[in-house]
Amino acid sequence: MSAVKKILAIIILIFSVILQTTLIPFMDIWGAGPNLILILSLFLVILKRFERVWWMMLLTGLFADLFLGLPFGLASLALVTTAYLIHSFNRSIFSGVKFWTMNSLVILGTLAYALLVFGLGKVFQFDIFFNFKHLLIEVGYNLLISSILYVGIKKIFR
Amino acid sequence: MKKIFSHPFVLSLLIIGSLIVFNTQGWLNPIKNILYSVITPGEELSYRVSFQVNRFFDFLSSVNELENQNNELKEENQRLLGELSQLNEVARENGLLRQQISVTENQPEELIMANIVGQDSSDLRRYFLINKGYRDGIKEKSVVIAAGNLLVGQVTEVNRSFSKVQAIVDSSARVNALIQESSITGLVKGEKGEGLIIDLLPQSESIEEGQLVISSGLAGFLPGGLLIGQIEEIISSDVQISQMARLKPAVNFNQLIKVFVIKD
Repeated sequence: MSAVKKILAIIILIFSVILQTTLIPFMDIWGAGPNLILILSLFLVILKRFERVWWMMLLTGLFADLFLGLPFGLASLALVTTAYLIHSFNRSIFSGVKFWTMNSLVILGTLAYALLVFGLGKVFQFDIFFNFKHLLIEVGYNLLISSILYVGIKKIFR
Repeated sequence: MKKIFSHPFVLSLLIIGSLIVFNTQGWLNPIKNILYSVITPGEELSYRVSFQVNRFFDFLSSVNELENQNNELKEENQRLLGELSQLNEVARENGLLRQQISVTENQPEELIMANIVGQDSSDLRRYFLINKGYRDGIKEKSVVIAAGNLLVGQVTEVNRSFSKVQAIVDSSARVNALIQESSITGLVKGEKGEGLIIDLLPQSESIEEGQLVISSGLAGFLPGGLLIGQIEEIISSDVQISQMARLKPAVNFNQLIKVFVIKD
């Protein structure tokens, strides 16, 4: 990845954290909304290898930790682990990046992230409640956003 | 062994683990303060734009209801004017009685006005980010209210110029409360980050829809008398040990942009 693309990726990821805490809360349905940080991180890890973008995932996660209402470190741990799991799954199952593979991986990533946040919340002794309805809405929302962003992001980072 | 530690995933976990330890020691505070100072103006601008866009769409969707709402508000205004004149009379009598028995009046709390610059509403959480921190006199567990003595939440993390506030509708928020009309005490809990529930109301007591729920001031840092919400629906049955009701929050959290932090 060229230096320009790296800078662009970092700007997009930082911007996603800002939008996640400003615009996204107004888009919620029954308290659930999309996770823009997760979608863009998954796009990047699917289009590029985890080995190349791991530090971007780490920075994004740590940056998100500053603004989200979770204990420090929880969001970055969940994000980096989800990115690594999805990268491994993608490399062992799928051969190319197509629209449906991207969307399937976003669904899997959303489920993995939600479970990790819930599990890590227990480790951090922080009350996180699991709600299936919210998870379903978030999956649907993430699917919609990833479908909209798919072409643009693929063009930039492929 | 060296190979394991140089693997990007393991390396990431080690870095995050170290930073968690550093954070608990407070060693990351200078870096966090710099980052907040740099990001807050952009964050605030983005939040204001999002807020205005949301308000515009809310307005468009409620145009048809405006006339009905206007009539209802006029009626309510008339009723409130009547109540206000009665309350003024009660306040005057109260002042005279205080003078008679030489009881000093409670000092009004000092308030710090803050702008909301962001919020986290994912995973059933409801947190706000405000643009005031310890340099403005905010402390952890400071109580946050909205105009009209409406309870918003409590400060959970304080930085130099930036604080995190847990809203009362957050799933893990708990507030000791009482029903204003009958003084029955209960526990208010956040319901899935959207609404509120009042629980542990004695089964023997009678509760009705429309009654106001306020903070009791019985435990912790929370002062009493802050309006939390109104009973909307009683959701428990007679076979349960205690009664439970759903509350309509007094604060519309999606229409909130300025809050006040009660200075300790």
